[in-house]
Amino acid sequence: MRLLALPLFLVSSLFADKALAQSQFKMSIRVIHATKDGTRMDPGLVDLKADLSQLAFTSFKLLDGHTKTVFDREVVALEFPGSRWLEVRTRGVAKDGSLKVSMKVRDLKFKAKAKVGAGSTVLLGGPPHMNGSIILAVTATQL
Amino acid sequence: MWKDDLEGLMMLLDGVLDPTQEALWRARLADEPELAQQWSELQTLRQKLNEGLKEELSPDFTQRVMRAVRHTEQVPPSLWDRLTAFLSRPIAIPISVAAALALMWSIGLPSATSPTSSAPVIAAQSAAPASALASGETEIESIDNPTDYNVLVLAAPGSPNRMIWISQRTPSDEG
Repeated sequence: MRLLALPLFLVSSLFADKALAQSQFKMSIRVIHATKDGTRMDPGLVDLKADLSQLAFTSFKLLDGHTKTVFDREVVALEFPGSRWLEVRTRGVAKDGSLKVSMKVRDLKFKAKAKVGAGSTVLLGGPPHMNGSIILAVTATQL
Repeated sequence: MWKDDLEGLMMLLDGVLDPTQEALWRARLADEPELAQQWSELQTLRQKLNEGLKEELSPDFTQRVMRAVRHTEQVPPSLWDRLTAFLSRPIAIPISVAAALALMWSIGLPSATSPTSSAPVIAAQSAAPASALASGETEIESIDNPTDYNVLVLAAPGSPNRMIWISQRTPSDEG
């Protein structure tokens, strides 16, 4: 019975190592400024064109963008205009294979949970900024 | 010989028992041969110890001991020896299981929370391959917002993305 401890630990470590290799993701967070001044769509936002076009804004400028490799349980924070912070926490992989994330903007007392499929994006928009609004886009892909 | 008996005998030997307790122990020593034997051994040991402490050490005692130490190969226990020694202890199993589960939990292995055996871990691996993020739509699970904001979830036709739009609630919204 005591000899069971070693193989159990080694087998667990083997699976843990495999899981470690499978649990890294590339997360990109984009900060977008949407206004009604002119017509503009930055090249870095082309993949979001359908989503942004449904808004009452005509100009979409990419203010900031960061891409980071994250594990499936990690917290990433990004400051956006208005001295506000977006906090994105990864919560593991859902049964359907999507990445579970929590988004929080403390100043707005806003929290949301979402499951993000590979290459798809969850957007959070609305905070006013310079005659327009800020839109935050969180995209996840597995490495 | 019980541990309590040994402690009692040692207290008797040290002379720290009160008269009543001492009388009780003396009565037991008279009635219990095994206890009396232990008492005799303790007394002998105390006597030898006292005699030993009276002996003078030779002047080169320290040098001889240190010389012997230097000439003795100092080999630390190998990793294998330490591992087998640890695994020979009964506490090894729960510690190993707990360490393995904590490791898997910390790196986010899905559904590996059962502390019972390794079987659920293996099952969890095969049931949730998760070799890559499934391509698909983003799904909003829950939104927790204060009452002073309106929240809309927008989905463009054909887009896998989802947008949460928050806007300040106005008095007309409440009316």
